[in-house]
Amino acid sequence: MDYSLFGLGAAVRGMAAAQAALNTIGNNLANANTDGYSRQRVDIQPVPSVSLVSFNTPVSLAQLGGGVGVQQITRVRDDFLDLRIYQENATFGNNDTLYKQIQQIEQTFQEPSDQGLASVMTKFFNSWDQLATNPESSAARSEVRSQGLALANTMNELNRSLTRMRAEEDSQIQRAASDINAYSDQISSLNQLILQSTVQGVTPNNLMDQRDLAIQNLSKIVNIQTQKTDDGKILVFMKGRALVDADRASKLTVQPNAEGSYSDVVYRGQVVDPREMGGQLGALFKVRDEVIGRNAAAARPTSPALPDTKQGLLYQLDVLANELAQKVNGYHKTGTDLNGNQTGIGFFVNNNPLASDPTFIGLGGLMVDPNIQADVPPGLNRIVAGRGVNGSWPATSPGPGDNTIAQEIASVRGETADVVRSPEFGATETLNDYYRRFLSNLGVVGQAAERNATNQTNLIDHLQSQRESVSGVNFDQEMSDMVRYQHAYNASAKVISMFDQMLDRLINGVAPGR
Amino acid sequence: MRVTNRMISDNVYRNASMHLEKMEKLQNQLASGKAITKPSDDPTAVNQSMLLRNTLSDQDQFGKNINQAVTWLQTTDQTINSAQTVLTRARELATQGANGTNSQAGLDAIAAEVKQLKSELRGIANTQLAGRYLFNGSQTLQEPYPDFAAYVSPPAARVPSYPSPASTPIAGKLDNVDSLQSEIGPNVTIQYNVTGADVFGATTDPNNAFEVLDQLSYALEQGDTGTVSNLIGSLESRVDAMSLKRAELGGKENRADLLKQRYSDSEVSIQSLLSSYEDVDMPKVISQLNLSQTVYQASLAASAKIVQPTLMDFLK
Repeated sequence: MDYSLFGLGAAVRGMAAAQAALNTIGNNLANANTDGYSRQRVDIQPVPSVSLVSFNTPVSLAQLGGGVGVQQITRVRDDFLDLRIYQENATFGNNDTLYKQIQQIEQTFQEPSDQGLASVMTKFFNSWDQLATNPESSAARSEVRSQGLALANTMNELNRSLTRMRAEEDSQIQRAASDINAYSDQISSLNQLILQSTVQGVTPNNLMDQRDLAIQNLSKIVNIQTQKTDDGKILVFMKGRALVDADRASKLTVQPNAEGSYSDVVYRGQVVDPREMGGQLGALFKVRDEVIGRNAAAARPTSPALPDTKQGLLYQLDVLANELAQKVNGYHKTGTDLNGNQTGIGFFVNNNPLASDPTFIGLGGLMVDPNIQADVPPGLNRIVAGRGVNGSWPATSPGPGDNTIAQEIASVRGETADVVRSPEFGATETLNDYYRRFLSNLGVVGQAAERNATNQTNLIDHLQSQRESVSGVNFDQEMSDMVRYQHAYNASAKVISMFDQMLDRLINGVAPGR
Repeated sequence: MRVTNRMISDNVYRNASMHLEKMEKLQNQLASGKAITKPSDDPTAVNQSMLLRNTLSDQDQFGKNINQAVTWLQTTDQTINSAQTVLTRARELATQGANGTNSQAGLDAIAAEVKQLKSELRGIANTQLAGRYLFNGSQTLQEPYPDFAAYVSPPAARVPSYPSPASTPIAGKLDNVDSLQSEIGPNVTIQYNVTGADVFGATTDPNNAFEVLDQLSYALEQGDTGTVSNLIGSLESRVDAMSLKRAELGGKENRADLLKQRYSDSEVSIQSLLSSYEDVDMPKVISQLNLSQTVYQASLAASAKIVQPTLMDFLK
């Protein structure tokens, strides 16, 4: 047997292997900045060898190598790091969203400044003091009215903007739910494609990268668990609810919640408890319902009792608005207006009564009595500054100079709240104390959210850097590999050229007819 | 550890944006001059600053209330002073009339002057401050002594009870004794008015200044020098009562002034405390900003060196 052309085949295979390696390097370099890309490596192995025919023994001991072959192209990836990233990503998404939302809430209050609610309340009470020094003056009355309107406006505006934020969060919740569905769909169909490839013996690196990226993106929106099956599928669960199972993805839907105007997320007919979600979605629910929301369903305690701590900012401000209005009205109703009439009207009325408690004057319902707002007489004169008795002024009864009520209203700011009416207040808290405590609490929550978000960002950055260390493309490495395989290619080519010369000598130099 | 080019560029970006973020915050503090702009910047400081702002605003209002009360107190004091001058003149006339050497024509002339003094006193008792009557309690828009006739009952009607005073209030005039209060401190109020009854005597009071002057002129016209000399004592006690009121007014004015002084003193210290919570410590922030800039530039310079070359640059 003659082996004269055998080496040529080995050289060709060497060139092909080097070319495959160079192609992979090209692919790696091209994808160096692609999100979710893992660098690929060519596994090359020697091809089976053949025995040399021996003239001395029946079977030759010498084995002639047949060159090299490309076994597989694999991606370099650490599955354990991926799992950690999925885990931490949910916490990261949660903290980050919470931080951004609370920042927005804080901006709504504009504190500390001269425009915030604290300042508007003080100005309101100061205007009553001003009226107390000049109870007959229509200028002082007009000031009381406009400060009252400013106070009502500020409170109504807080109600409006916080409610608008809730609506904004609600639409983000709906968007997040549809994002989850899109990713689940993508993961599920990638599962099928990957299975189809692997049964044919192909390793679909790019599809696997895409699937990992989709899972990572999903893990930021909601807290997920993954499970790898024997045939290479990845199943995705949300607290035991399969989003992606072996053959299909399950869709989340949204439906109006108990409050009516907001949404709940539903999985296969069951409302998902927001506390089981985590991730961005969980944070949105938390801000919408716990941080801002007023829990309309919860009955308001009417006697000293532990207030419902789950009530959000809106409710806490409702209590403030109500306590203020009730205190002011309590004095206002007992007095006599400038015309000597005991009208019994309050300074504030309720523009938006709750069905459960119509006397409760909330943040959105606070409004200066339209009788006082009226520009035609007796409009301003209806503001009560003095006590007095029913009917017109007899000479000995308190006259228009009486400022008792104005003074009592002005001193509401220094009075402790009625804890029977408003158990949310501390025993010795004034309106201002309550509001300051409220803002301090908000500040502490905001501070914690910022700290958590920063910590979690650092952690995620670190993990991603670790993964990048494993799966990322290093130019120097690719370059040196490129040089290596280029030389290998050239060497194999040299072998071919050597065979060419060898055969030339054999054919042209040894051939008969010379 | 294996380091990839993307790791380096990610790090460069992360560090650069971290420095930028820090510089943006410092720059913002410098530009606004405020160290805290939202509650989460420093919840404790925000709490304190709101409390201090509130105190400042309250004190400002109390200061305004004090100004108003003091103006009222001073005007009242001056008015009572004028009333005293009138009554002192009446006492001089009474002394002159009690002398017994005057002819009836002389007594009539004195009586005529006493009547003039009565009408002057009424004008004084109806003094207004910014459209509000000083001496009518809370009925600040009604004249306390509206009708001269109501105060000078026709002598004929007086005769039966003369020289004893009217035991019932004179028709048309009732004393309004409401006090007018002003809040000059947290839960501290001050009564800044005095009532007509306090100064001129209640309408049922035998020493009511108008009543006394009325009796005086009548006694002079009647040539009753004994009653005239009796009335001197009434006039003196009325003037003394007025002096007592003025002393009381002076005391209140002092108290209000002291309080106002205290507010303006504490305002300075509260302002500086507020500033320590809210305002930026400029030298500190500027040096922090400079430091951040230096670090930022160093990190950029280092990045520029490390990002640029790869093996590619050296392969031919």
